[in-house]
Amino acid sequence: METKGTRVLLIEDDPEDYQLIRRSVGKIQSPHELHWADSLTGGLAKLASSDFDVVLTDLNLADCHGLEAVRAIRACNSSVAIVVMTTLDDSETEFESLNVGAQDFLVKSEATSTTLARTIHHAIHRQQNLIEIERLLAEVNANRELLSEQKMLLESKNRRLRKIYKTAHRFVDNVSHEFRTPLTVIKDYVSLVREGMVGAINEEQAHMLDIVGVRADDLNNMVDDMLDVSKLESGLLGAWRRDCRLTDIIQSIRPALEKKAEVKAICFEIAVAESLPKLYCDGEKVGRVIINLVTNAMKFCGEPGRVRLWATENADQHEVVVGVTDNGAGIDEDGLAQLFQRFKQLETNIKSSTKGFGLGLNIAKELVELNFGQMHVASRLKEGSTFSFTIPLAEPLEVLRRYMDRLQCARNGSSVVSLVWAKIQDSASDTGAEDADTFFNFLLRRNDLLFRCGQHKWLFVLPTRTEVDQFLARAEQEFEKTNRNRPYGPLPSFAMNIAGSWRLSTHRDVILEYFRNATGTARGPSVESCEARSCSLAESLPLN
Amino acid sequence: MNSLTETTLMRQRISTIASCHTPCGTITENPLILCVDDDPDITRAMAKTLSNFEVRTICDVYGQQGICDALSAQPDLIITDLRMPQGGGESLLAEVKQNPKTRHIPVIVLTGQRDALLRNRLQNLGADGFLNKPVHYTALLAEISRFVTLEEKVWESA
Repeated sequence: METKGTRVLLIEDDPEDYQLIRRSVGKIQSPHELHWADSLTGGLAKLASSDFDVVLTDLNLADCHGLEAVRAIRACNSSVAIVVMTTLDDSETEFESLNVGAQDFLVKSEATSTTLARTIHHAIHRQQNLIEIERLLAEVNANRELLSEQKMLLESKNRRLRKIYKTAHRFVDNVSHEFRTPLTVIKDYVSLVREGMVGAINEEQAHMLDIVGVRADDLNNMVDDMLDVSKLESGLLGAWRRDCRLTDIIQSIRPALEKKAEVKAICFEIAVAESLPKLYCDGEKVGRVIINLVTNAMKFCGEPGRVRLWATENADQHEVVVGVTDNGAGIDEDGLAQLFQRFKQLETNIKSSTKGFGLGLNIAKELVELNFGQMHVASRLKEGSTFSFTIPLAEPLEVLRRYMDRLQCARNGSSVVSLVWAKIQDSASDTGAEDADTFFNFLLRRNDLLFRCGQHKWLFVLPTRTEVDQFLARAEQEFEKTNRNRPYGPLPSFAMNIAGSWRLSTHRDVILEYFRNATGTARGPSVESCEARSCSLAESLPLN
Repeated sequence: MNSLTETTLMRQRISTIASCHTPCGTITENPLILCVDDDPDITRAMAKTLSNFEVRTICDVYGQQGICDALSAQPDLIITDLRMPQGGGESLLAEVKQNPKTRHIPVIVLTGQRDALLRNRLQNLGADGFLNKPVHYTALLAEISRFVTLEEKVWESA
């Protein structure tokens, strides 16, 4: 603008004043181009036909008087700067002019080249700022509208996605369930024919039926995998953890695995001692892990194939290691690294891991972690691979420790744990105590733990503080509901009291210490003293 | 249509009892097992598997029917599916365990559902056993023999 000169329009009906201004403008150092109109009408016509940077206007024009002139100019051109030229020192009019669209005012008699230059410069600058502000404001408003529009769009999209996701999830569940029925029928009838219950069959027929059975088992495992993935993704995969014997778990999956080995002519050996201590886990899930690992081993074992399922106790770590060793080609270091990468991927993207090593291993790892264990793989090229996993022994303290580790991991350490005691009367019968045990187990939700401390006392571990009251209320409700449905005598009545709530990040050791004392004493002589201690301990440790 | 189905089913049931009862013994001697599943192929396979043993079976296709038969036939064991039209397994379990006349009858739930907390719920309702479909027949027989004596029919193969 400076380079091509500032274009100034003067609207002034007095030629003398015009001359005065013209002289002053002429003396301004930077180039200014002055145009003159002697009436408002003439000025507006000029303004309409060419661009000006600033309009200097008198307020006493022949065809207009007072601030109307400013309004008219502003109405005609919204971007040009306006400076009002007055003769009298009328501060009221001067300030009023600013309100109707002028940027500045100047008393004519004071219009020296310096003041004129400065006033013009400032007026233009001010007007530019104003235009910029208005532009920005319009932009902000437009953006705000756009944002709220997008927000609404996102919300409705979100609702739709949630609905679709729910539908998809339900669909997977239903499909899986629907698969199960025909699969069951196929398995049952193949068994009936295979076992010769509907007439004798020859060896080849028996072998073929075995293959059908094994393939049906494979399909069933796939359905299980699919269900687990669906539940993993929606965060609904829960566990039914309790004291288990590994041999019992293996017993239930053994027939299918042995049949598979037989059909594939693989030497399958199970080396699991009856003497192993009890484990704390969801037996079905651990069974699924073993099925997946053995199935995997049978897929990659050598020729002739050898697969060995073994277990050893690791007393130092309070755990049992269960392993599956094959005599396959082994996995090189790159493969191993990839294997673990795939494991890692599972947390973020399950779909991408469905290829290659398959869903089985990924799910196996998740299921192991759900049971507070860890998955390992060791492999030597040309010698074979060993996939192994750990499960904690059925020792409450160890289980709690691992439970808290997992909770802390899953929630970035911001989690809270509440302990709640449940106690039935000492006079309750053994059957009553067992019924209460069943009932307390029934109250558990995902991520809750329950420990039985002696015959009449239980300890709930809940991963929350805010919902403890809800938990107590629910327990009360379910108790009444269950009792209504029990004609053969009510459940023994119980009392629940909150031992306390602690932050895992700061009070992990306190919880363990409390738990050690509480469960330790529970087996000892005085349950009451243990409880009294629990209260004082809880009070001394307000949650913060 | 309902009454027709009912009659057909009744006839089927009677025939099952008749075919499963051994000619040398009386009906009341052998344990009676009530199998409830909306898929008759499944109950038929179960009955066929059990036909090798000295037991009698009744096969029902929905929960309500199972409740009636539990009352009238007083079986020694009930094996039931969960998801069924006209009275699912859970309501059958609840009914059987609520009625003083039937609550002593052990109930095994055989389901394709895989819900970790389902067992707790069923146990709280009074279920005595829990099996996942598909179940290997040896596992099924092992579970059944926890509640009734399974004596193999020796004479039939001779």
